[in-house]
Amino acid sequence: MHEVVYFEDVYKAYSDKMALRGASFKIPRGVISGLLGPNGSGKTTSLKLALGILKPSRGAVLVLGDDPWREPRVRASMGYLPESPIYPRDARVRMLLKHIARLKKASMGEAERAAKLVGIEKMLEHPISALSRGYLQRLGLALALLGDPELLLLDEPTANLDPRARVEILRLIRDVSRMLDATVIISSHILPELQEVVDYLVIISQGEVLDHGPVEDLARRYRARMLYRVSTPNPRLLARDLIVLHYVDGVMLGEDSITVYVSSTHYRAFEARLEELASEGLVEEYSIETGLLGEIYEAAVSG
Amino acid sequence: MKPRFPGRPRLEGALASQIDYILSRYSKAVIATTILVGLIYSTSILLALLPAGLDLLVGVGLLVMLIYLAVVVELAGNMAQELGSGEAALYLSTPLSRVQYVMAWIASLAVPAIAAYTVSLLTPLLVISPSLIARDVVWGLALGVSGEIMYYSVIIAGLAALLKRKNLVSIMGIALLLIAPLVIVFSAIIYTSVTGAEVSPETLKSLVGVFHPIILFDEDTLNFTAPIIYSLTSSLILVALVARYAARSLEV
Repeated sequence: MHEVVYFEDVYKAYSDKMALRGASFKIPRGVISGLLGPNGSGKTTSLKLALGILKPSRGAVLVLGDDPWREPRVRASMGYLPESPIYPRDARVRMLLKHIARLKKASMGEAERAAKLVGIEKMLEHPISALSRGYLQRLGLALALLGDPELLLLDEPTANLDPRARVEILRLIRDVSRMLDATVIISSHILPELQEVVDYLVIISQGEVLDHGPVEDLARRYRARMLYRVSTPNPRLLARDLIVLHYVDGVMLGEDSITVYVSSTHYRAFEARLEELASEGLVEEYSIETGLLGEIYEAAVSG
Repeated sequence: MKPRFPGRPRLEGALASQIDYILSRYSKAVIATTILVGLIYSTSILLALLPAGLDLLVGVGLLVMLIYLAVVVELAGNMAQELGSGEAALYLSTPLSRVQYVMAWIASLAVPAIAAYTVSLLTPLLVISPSLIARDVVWGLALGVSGEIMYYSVIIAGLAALLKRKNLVSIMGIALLLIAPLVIVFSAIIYTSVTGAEVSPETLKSLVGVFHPIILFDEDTLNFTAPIIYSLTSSLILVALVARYAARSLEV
């Protein structure tokens, strides 16, 4: 099956409100997908349904080809970092890691590797109650990584962290997803953070999925600007050449590359120009970094 | 090479891992209770040498059972807290199923209490010749109380899964343990005094037996077969109901 996560007309009602209303979307294998929406839009509910710890009121949820509510075994291939994890305060880090590792059929050696990967290997004998928020988040990430998951569900992974810890956690997520070759779904309402890591997007608002797809496609569909990273031996010269084009909105200089903001309606013309410059030796290679999520989101919400 | 000391055997599988984990966190309460019970029994051993000793042993045995049931209520409060606070999501986001989660708690409530109770009940046999004690009574009492602890553990775990609040579970647990049987007895007294009609001791016993099956034992012969059958059958039915309804509705 190509899709890792598949939602078909999913409704989820709580006693006092409807959290999801006919949500349908799919997330393909290997992407880092953002679940984008304001607080209370149904992001956490979607992640919990995908994990199988909530039961859909109606509709079908399939994860890695199985219904996670009925087949808890599928969770052996999943890792989950909740928005506000609640840990047993009386336990030590090692004890919790060991227990979750056993539940996921991972060895203590793997647990220690996960702890090292997220930088808590020196905290193993500490009581969980003594960890700072940043370290609690790292512990959550280590627990999510146990068992080499194919799918990582991260709910607001940088919530309540200071700016430095945020940057570190985002870097960890990028490194880990690359290392494990895992599909990652990150729920967040902080656009700049998602902008840095995602290549796929599910836009959700008031319990409804407004759109989903690769960021690149969505940027074109909603005419949002796109960000290109262009490698060049001479960034200043290339920037001077490109900035005069009427569909280029801005250029940021790097050491051996530049980042260019381009109107999505003119991306073909822009890429044609890059090809010309490549034949002249001024462009080494280029790639689409992403579309501007803020613009995509605004356009999707306003219809 | 470091010497290895025998410890608690390592359990395998998701259900067993969860039981192992719960016990390693909460075994202190059971150990503390066992020590307390040991002291109570030390006294009863001396008194058991008196002519009325066997009845006394049964009396102490039932009192001690109430102490263990109180421990079960206290531990079940932790299960409710785990579910109410969201900590349970940590375990249920792994391959551990909801049924396994609830069953792990039931086993963790019942098994250590039963084991500790049985061991402490057999303590008198260390100092009194088994020939002086009716072994059938001791074993009957052990099995009867074990059945009641199991029965009570299933009820209280089911309540914890449904209520998800520690205080509420404690209140409900104590109500089932002590208040409900007393209410039945007082209701019977009031009924008798108001209507003049007599409530037969058998009826009263059967009603209280719903909450404490152990009371269904035969006082004349000190035979515990009836409570054993009642509590084990009820426990099995309740386990099936808890697995069917409480575990299925367990969303975190």
